[in-house]
Amino acid sequence: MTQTPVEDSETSGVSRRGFLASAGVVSSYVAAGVAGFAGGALTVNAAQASTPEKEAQLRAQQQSATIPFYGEYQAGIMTPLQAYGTYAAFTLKPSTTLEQARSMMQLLTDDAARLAKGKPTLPDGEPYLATEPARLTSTFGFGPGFFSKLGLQGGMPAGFAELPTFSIDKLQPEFSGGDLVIHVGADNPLTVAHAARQLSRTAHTFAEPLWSQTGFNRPQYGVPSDQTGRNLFGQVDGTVNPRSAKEFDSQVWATSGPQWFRDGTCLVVRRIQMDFAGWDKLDDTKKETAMGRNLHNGAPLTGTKEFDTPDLKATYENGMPVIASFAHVRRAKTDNPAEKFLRRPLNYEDGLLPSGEPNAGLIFAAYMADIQKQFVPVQQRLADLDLMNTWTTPIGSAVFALPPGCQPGGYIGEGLLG
Amino acid sequence: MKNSTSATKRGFSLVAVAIAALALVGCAPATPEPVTPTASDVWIKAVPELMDGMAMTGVFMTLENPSDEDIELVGATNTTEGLSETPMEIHEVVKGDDGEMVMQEVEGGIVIPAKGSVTLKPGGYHVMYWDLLKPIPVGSHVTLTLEFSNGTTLDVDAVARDISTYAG
Amino acid sequence: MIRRIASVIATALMALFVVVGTTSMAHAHSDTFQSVPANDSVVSTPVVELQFTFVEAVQQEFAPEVSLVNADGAVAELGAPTFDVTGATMTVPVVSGALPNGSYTASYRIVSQDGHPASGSITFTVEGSDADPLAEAVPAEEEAVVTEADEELMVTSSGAEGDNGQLQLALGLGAAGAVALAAVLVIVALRRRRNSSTK
Repeated sequence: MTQTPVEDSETSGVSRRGFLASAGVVSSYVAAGVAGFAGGALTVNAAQASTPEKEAQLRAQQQSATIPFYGEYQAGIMTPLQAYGTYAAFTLKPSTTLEQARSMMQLLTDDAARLAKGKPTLPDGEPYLATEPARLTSTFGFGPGFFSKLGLQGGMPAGFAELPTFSIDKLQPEFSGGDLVIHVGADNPLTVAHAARQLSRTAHTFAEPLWSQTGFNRPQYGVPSDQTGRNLFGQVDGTVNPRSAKEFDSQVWATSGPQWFRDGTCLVVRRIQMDFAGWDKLDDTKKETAMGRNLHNGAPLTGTKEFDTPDLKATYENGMPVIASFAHVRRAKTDNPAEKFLRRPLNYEDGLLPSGEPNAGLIFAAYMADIQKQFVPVQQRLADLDLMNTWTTPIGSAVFALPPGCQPGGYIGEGLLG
Repeated sequence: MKNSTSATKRGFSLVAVAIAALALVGCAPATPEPVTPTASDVWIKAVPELMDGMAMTGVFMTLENPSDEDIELVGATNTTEGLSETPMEIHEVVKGDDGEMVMQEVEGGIVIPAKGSVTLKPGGYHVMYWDLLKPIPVGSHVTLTLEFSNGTTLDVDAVARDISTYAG
Repeated sequence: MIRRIASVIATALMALFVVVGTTSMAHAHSDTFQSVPANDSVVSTPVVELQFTFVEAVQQEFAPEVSLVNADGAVAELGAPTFDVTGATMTVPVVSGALPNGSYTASYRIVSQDGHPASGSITFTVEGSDADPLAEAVPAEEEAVVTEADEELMVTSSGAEGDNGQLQLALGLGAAGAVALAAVLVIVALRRRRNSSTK
């Protein structure tokens, strides 16, 4: 345990006093290696960026930074998490034919390739908003309806289907479903808004907008690259994530299934509403008990560093498990190496609910090769039991199959659409 | 005056000797090859449906001139089968006497400055299609040939894009 | 040592009743205010189960966690908790039957109606029990062959050197128990003789 008894105040909760373990009971683990990918090439130690000149230089560097659009994989998946993002879903118009869907993807590809370089799209009405790419990526995916409406059911990847209904779900149609998804990410919110709008304009000839979810994380520059960001509950969020190319190969990129889908992946987007009134009633100890991780640095309660593996067997001197049976980290943890996936979370904050509470929470976006094998079992365990469910509610859910990348002259989805 | 005349005479005779010399050798006169400008980002405003008063559209692009002399875009010819029979025009959009924006043919064509470029975009320069005979769906392609003041021509391919408002 | 633990626990229990923030009593959590055995008590009747009565019903879908250890850290195996019809009284059986002598810490972690995790501990001492001592705490990988070893200790009573204090304690208890039993048998036998002789 990192905490020592003397630091606690009397009223910080009995559990800390009563359960503080001696060093002998709690095991500690060597922190798992963390590749530099997490923060991206632009991050720098806070200590280094001390002068205004350096800060200005970093900012300019950040705003002009580009991520290549073309490649083996679509950009925006392995790309280090950006500070802003929008997921926008569309419904194909009934009149849209396979040939038109092809046109749509060709145009979207052309738009995305230009925007990625800091250039406007061809019909761009606001070219000045394109000039700061700030690591802009545009990523495209197809919902189950895309396949069925265009007669492409035969191309559906294995394990790709709508999620089953979970007992905790309170899904709203306005955040659920979709035949097409466009995900735009960048370190500049104007860049995201502009790119999302241009891509949406292009798609609009062929598909109606269904929903759009915009979110944010902390700015990326000046932050140490091995520190995972936080959600609006203040929790470190996104610790267990693939970071090396090898982990991406085994968790994210499709290596089997239809040819068009190889080096693609699947995406689950769930909107998680947060109950801040309820969360505010908890003290730190209760919050940490519910999560199984501490708030200070996201380390599991059985460890000291964020990337320590949680020790689910560890008990306090009095025999009580350190990580509670209902703690989120226990329920999410798996010994099955197949049940892992990439998370690119975004926080959302969209005004107020009728009650006056913040309309805010988490846009949970997860990427994996096989939704059925990798994601559903984990979500099922959490739906069955996870104390965090007390303060979170899924209010939106959608699934998409994402094609691989393309080369100049090609387009995203060409393997499927021909 | 006397000097310049004799200098001019001298200049002419020099050229005459040079041409004669070249003719003897069998080469053409040493005037530089006309340079064809390059075109990029070529697109056409889509016309999903032909409607009264909506049978025309504009083509946009960026033209670059790598040569040392200004070159003008003076004309264009449709090469897409069955798209239009009416001659194409080179247009600019200017403010008329009443303050309204008006499009009209550009006298002398659109200037592409030496070692520079010019962009044709909505609300500005464009190449005009009149009397369309069939719709131009979003995402389809149209071909035309550009004609320049130095006698060169350039075949281009324009992709059809929608610039209607979002609610459209 | 026991007194120090007791005072820490007592302070902690008081903290349980301190309402965090400005919420009213209506939002109080399911903190225990009654237990059997009672906190800080000494019991000489057999303890075969633990009982906690909370202020309000507990959310049973978040399965309560209960643990019971003696002063040496030996763990007493507990069965699944059951609840009465109010959902506020939780009974947890001791798997091995009656608890042997010793001082114990019983800890619980439950979730109250408003979703708050709540934990607490009580201590109590058992006397006058003839139950077998608890096995020492063993690492999870090793099989704990408890009862056989204890029987051996009881029979051989002297000479065998314990590997650690736990074994020695068991040995001591075992020896004391044997002596006490022997004393009782002697007394009973003497009484019978006396009775039979007077008749």
